[in-house]
Amino acid sequence: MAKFTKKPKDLIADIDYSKTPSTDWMDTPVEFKEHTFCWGAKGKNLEIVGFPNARDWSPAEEDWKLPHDWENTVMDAIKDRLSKYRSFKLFMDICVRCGACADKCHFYIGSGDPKNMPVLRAELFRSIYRRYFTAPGRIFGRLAGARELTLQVLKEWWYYFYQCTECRRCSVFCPYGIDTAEITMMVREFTNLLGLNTDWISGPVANCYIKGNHLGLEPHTIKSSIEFFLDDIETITGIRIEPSFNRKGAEILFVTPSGDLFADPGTYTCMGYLMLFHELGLDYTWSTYASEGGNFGFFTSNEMAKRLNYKIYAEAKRLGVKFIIGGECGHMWRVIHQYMDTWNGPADFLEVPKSPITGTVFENAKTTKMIHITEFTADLIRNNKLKLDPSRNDNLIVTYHDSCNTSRGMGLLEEPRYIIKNVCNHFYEMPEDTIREKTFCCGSGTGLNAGENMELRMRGGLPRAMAVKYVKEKYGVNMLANVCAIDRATLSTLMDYYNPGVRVTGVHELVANALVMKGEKPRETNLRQEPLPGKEGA
Amino acid sequence: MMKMLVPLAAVIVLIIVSLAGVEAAGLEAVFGIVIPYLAFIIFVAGMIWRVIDWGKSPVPFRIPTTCGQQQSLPWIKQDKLENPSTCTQTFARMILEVFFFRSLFRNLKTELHDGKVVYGSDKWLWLFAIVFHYSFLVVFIRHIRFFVGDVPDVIHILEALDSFFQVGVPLVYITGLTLTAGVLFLFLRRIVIPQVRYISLPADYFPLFLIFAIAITGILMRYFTKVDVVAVKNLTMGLVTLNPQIPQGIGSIFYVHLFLVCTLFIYFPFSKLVHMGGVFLSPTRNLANNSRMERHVNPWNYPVKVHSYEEYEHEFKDKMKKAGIPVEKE
Amino acid sequence: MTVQSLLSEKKEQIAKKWFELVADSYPSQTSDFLKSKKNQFLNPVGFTLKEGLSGICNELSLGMDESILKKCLDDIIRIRAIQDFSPSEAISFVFLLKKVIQEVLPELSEDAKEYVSVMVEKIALMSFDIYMQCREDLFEIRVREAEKRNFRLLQVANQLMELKDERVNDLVTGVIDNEKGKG
Repeated sequence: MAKFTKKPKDLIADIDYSKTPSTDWMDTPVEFKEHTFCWGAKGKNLEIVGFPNARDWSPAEEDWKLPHDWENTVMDAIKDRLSKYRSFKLFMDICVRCGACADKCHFYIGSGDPKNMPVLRAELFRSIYRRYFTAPGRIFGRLAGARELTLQVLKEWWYYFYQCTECRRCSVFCPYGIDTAEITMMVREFTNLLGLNTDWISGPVANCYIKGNHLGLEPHTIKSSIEFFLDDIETITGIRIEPSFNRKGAEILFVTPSGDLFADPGTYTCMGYLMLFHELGLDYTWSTYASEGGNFGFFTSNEMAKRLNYKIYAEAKRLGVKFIIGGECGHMWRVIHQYMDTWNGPADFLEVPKSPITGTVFENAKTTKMIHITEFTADLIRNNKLKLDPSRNDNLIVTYHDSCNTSRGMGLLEEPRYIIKNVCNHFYEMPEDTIREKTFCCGSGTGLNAGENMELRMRGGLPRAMAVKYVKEKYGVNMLANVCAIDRATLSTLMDYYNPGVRVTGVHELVANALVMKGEKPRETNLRQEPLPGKEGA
Repeated sequence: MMKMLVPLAAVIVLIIVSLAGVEAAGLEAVFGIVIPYLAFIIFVAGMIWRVIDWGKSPVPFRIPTTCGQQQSLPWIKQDKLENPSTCTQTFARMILEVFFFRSLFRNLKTELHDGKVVYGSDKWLWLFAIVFHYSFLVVFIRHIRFFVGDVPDVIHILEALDSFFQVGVPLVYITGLTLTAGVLFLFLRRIVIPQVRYISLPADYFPLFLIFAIAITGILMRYFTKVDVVAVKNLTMGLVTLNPQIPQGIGSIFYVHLFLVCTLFIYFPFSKLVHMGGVFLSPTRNLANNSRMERHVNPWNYPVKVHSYEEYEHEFKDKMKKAGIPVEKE
Repeated sequence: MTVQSLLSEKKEQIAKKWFELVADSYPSQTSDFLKSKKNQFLNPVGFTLKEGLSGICNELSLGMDESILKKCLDDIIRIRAIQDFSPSEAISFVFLLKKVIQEVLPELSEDAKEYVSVMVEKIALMSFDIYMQCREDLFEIRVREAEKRNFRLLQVANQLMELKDERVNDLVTGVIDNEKGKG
């Protein structure tokens, strides 16, 4: 009976509910928890693009099969990148750890793990920088915030820098503009030199390199999958559309993320593009070679990103088009807006984009010669070139999610909103702190949109989900619009978990629903082949 | 705790060293002449080296963090300050960043909770950061009077403003107090907020303790021990005119103050305090968001291995032909 | 005074104390953040906890309406089910309620204590169901996402049984090749 001599009250007091790590972060080892990380890259995918140390590996296993002198590889690479990127060097030196960024990260807000505070995520690397590249770090060691590069540190890097979606929200609040995305990109470069990437990123990279798109769709497959959309469009509108592929002499090349060709609900957005372009009689072509707008190479190394991005200009040149329109995608637009011209330009074989319908010259794209489809469509609507019936979207109560990349790496804020307001009658914004430049990430960017890390994704998406929940409860929002292929796929999942009943759409699906096309039959259904409002009984 | 105690101990040691040096060892010349010259040289050389070192690394890509509407169609209102597309606009953005801590201010957010307006703790960080930095600046400018023969009017005006309340003998300078308050706040914040405590390093406490000690010794000299200002000016003018001398009768506390300031100068280029210079160079802030309008060149851009269209067609030619997709080589 | 009215009188105090204890189950840096930041969008975890826990306290003193309790618990557990908690840790917060009530209302009679005890057990059982539901949801959304990813393929595969369309064949073989390539 001795076991039960304690009074019940004391027993309760004995249970420790607290999970506080009492140790300093440097003394808290990383723990790989299931459902929070992605599977390791396959050797053959690394081999295809010539990444080093190509072999199959698993992050959960003790042995990462690293090259024996991996420390030197990392050191050399750090030195090299410090001399190539002022951002990297500066951001290593000037952080004062004021903590303004600490609670701005969606992963920190959703997980509560202190190493997800942007400042601490950066310190995971900065501590190594100090130890090997600064005098105080060399002399005072830990006292100066420095530590040795060990296998544990490498694993910690891998775990936490593949928990950053490079969304740049922290950078908005930092008094010095320190951008964790820059640091994440660098550390990911280092891990790639050791063959440490995820299957979910390296697979699409290899696909995109050889076949032109992440999904690995071959030319005939691209064509036939689009033809299936055409069948559906014919069913819905009675109009048969005939787009062209790899056609020389077209005025415009259209490039969109390949996810739109296969993944629901991106497929409806893709149908939207097809219908809009047809209605305008646009002289444009698809390409099966440059069939990917997105760039998973961007999540491995700068060089790989450039190698994949090369195809867009190359194909525009080969086909002899005048300019390029890009579809709805997030990181694709960070790349096109801030990197493409620098990498693979100058695109002097193209002309400054000029809308053949309105005559508007897009001065803002006069050197890159590529415009975002919402810039194009907003201009059409502004000039009354589209006949729209927004009441067809009356069953939808819409809110708009800004993609991290288009908002903080470009500033595309009003264009999509202008379109939505013209094609929908019910539009409500989410709370101010969660949209525009302060938008919250879907939690699955930078190639984290795999299945095996679902718990992590639900943590990262929590702040976004809660903002949607608010407008759902307040205004009855049932449709979450966005301009990003990854969002379309991952926000659907996020909504299924937190806010069942809220669905996800691209902006051009809404456009195509409202678009009154010449010669169309009276529409009974929307693009999802669900009855239009008022036609439910039919 | 060690993170705090070590820097605290370091500052105490610095004080003892200077006191002992002057009082016991009579090393006034070392602390009044040699170290100040050394500190000045290290500071200037160190900061130049820093900036050159940063400058040596190029800015390969145009990566501003955009915090507002881009310049696109003429009828869409661009947010010129938060998303600048010209040099002038970018300059204005930088002014806001450097002089008004714009980004930090973003944290200032009134929150509506239970129907009441609640102020987030974050606004205090902005406020005290402003108070601290501007007080420091004014205090610094006030000290110029010790390094010029005829004190310029600007400094007289500044002093008059700074002692606006006309209390105490000698008149109390507001910035002396606000500087101390600012340091205290920044310190308390570091130990009170668990997140910030967790991320803090000794290198975050050391400058706070150091500046606190500098402020306190300065206040002691002005209001309490009443240091011989004329003698001090003789010393400082001697330093400026490269004719150094050690006047008699300056209290040891002056040497402590001077030594701590010298330490700060020496420490400056090798610590996080370089953010003073770095903030001007930050590529996410000081670049215009015009990368689709004007080509940005990467000096180390190099050719990469690509998968050409020819290779692609070669591999998929049959499938393309069968699907009716045009090919280059029949 | 009935136990309900006693609980009703102190419900805010109970909810507040309970919230603080639950917040302390997070790392110390985080628990402070959860407690101090008031904005529901910038601190969704803290906000959800606070709302959910006071909702439960409210029901304790009223009629223990199952649907309201369920909603409150679901909001909280849905988040804890995807955070770094073991199943027992994820729902342990329920049992803290006993401790909190003992502290706030030490004068409760034996009968009242018994009432509280039974209520807490009831909530605990509900929590267990909800936790399991959340975990099932988690795996289900994973499957559903994979389906959506190949939505067109599945659609086509269904038609394939009837149609002998060359396009379908191309499409399917193309994608299957690719899946093999990825696997």
